[in-house]
Amino acid sequence: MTDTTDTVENRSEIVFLYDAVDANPNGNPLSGSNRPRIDPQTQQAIVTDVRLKRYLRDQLDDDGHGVYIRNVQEEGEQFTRAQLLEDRLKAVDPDDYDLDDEEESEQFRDDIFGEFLEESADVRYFGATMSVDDTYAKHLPDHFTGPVQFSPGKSMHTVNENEEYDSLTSVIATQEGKEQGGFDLDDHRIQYGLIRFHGLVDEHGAESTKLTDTDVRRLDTLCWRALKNQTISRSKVGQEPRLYLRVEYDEESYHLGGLDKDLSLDDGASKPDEELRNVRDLAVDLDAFIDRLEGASDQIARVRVVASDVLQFAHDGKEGGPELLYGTIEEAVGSDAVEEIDVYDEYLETLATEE
Amino acid sequence: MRLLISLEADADAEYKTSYHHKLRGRLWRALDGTEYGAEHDDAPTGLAFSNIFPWDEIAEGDERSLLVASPREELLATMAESLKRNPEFNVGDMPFTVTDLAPVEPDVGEPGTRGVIETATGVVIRLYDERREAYGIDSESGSPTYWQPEHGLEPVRDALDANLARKHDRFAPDYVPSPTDVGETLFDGYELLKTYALPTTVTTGVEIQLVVSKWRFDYRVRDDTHRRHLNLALDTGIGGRNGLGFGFVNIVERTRPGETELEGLDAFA
Repeated sequence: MTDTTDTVENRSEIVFLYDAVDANPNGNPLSGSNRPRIDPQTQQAIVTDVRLKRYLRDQLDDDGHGVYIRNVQEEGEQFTRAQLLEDRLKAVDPDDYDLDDEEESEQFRDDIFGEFLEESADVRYFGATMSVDDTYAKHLPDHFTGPVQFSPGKSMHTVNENEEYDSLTSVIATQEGKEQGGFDLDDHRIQYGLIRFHGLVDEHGAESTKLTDTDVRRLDTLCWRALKNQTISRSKVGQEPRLYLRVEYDEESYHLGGLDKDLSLDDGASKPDEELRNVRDLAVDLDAFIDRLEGASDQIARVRVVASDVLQFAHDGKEGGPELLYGTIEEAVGSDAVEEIDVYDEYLETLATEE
Repeated sequence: MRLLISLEADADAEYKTSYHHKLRGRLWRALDGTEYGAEHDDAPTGLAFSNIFPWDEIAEGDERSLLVASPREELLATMAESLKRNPEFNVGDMPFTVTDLAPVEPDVGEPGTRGVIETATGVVIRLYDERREAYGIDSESGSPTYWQPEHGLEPVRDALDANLARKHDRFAPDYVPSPTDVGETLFDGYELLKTYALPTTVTTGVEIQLVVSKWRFDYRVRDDTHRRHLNLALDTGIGGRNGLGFGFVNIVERTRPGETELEGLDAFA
């Protein structure tokens, strides 16, 4: 059970890189055939924060955590928000309270507030809008503002769209008599994209959704595992997490901001954008990133980091794998402050447990 | 990735055990005239398929299924499109019509997951001169020896790893370590269920006696590389002659790291 009294006290800044090979990391439903979202000016692939949060919610759900905003269908019916809410609050029965009595009504409000957040890990992270008219909802705030915010991600380089081919999924989706029919047969993917996300964990917002330290520690493995586990299907296949890094600050209301923008592709060690096809075709330049971390080392409590063994880095004329990254961060902020994340050993500690 | 093909029997028929060559023919016909059409002689083909199941006498109107696996989604997509256009699906004297197509995406699970993979069709393990010598197996040189229980388990482990490494070299990105690079075997446990001989037409007019075996393999996913290797085995089949439908495997049990086999106990305490 999550310890709801242990809310987050430190602000964190997250940089998360994952890549997509022959995939459609985020289709645009307005484009007719769900083409990958691409910035028409810069030709960078775009992945919305909504898409990322969907992966994270699905992984939370798979891990047995309660999730309010689910994408669950039964017999073709999407659950309504009211049904989802009721599902979260099964343990609190309004019939057990005399809602005309002010004191009991107050108790009911406290109970559903606590129960709702306890049972809805995703709301503790990302918030939710309670746009339902329901006995429960009337006693909850209109919306919860999530203390964990991600900005839309963009590829660190220009991308090319693949030649079209008819994907298996599309073929099947268009069979006659199928409810999910109506898609174009055309399937569009990008050849390669290294997508860069920026996230923030706000310690002030954490209070309102009771986000705990355990929740934040869970993020350190959740992002990685979500990309590993929630992208095996359809056009999402071919995506791999490459770098997750969370800088936790120990000075109130302080964060560097825009840390993701300090990472770029190293020109010398990377192929030209149009020739990028997989992670081996590039190296991430760390120079600006390390400089900024070093400048803020007094404000940094810890850096938690994990990188793919095949991602290459460049720093100060040197090239190398994750060890170069870990070593240079240690030099910048002190070795005591750097923790390598062991994704698969650590995540078990943050799984939901039965009461 | 897999393509689940749903079939309806067009007539009563005897379920023939020597269907392999005919079924292979029907599947490759679905790829005729496409960029994959000429690949059926390439080895490894990267295409594996199950029996038509359930295995039983066929009555008109019966519903049966077939799974086709490949690491290449595009190949399966091409096949699906062809089957959709031409749903007549005759396997020798067993006439069917394709009634539905669906994608299936098995995954052994993330590191820490335990499970069992079972063979759905027999596994062909061939030992050639060099390997026979290494394991001290006497036989005439030049033609392969089919593995039998008296040869021991070591040749099986090595042959499955080496065979998967060839598939890995063809279908996996070159920067990912191969099954033979990692110094660990693919499975933790090898339980032999049975061996049997099967007369099989390998090409028109050529019938040979294959010795095949059925297995249950225990696994625990060590890391991402191991996960890729096991998933590749699900996509390509294991052992030899996958192009004839041998070596097709399924996950039959799976315990994820967050789940405990010890009901009610905290296995991670």
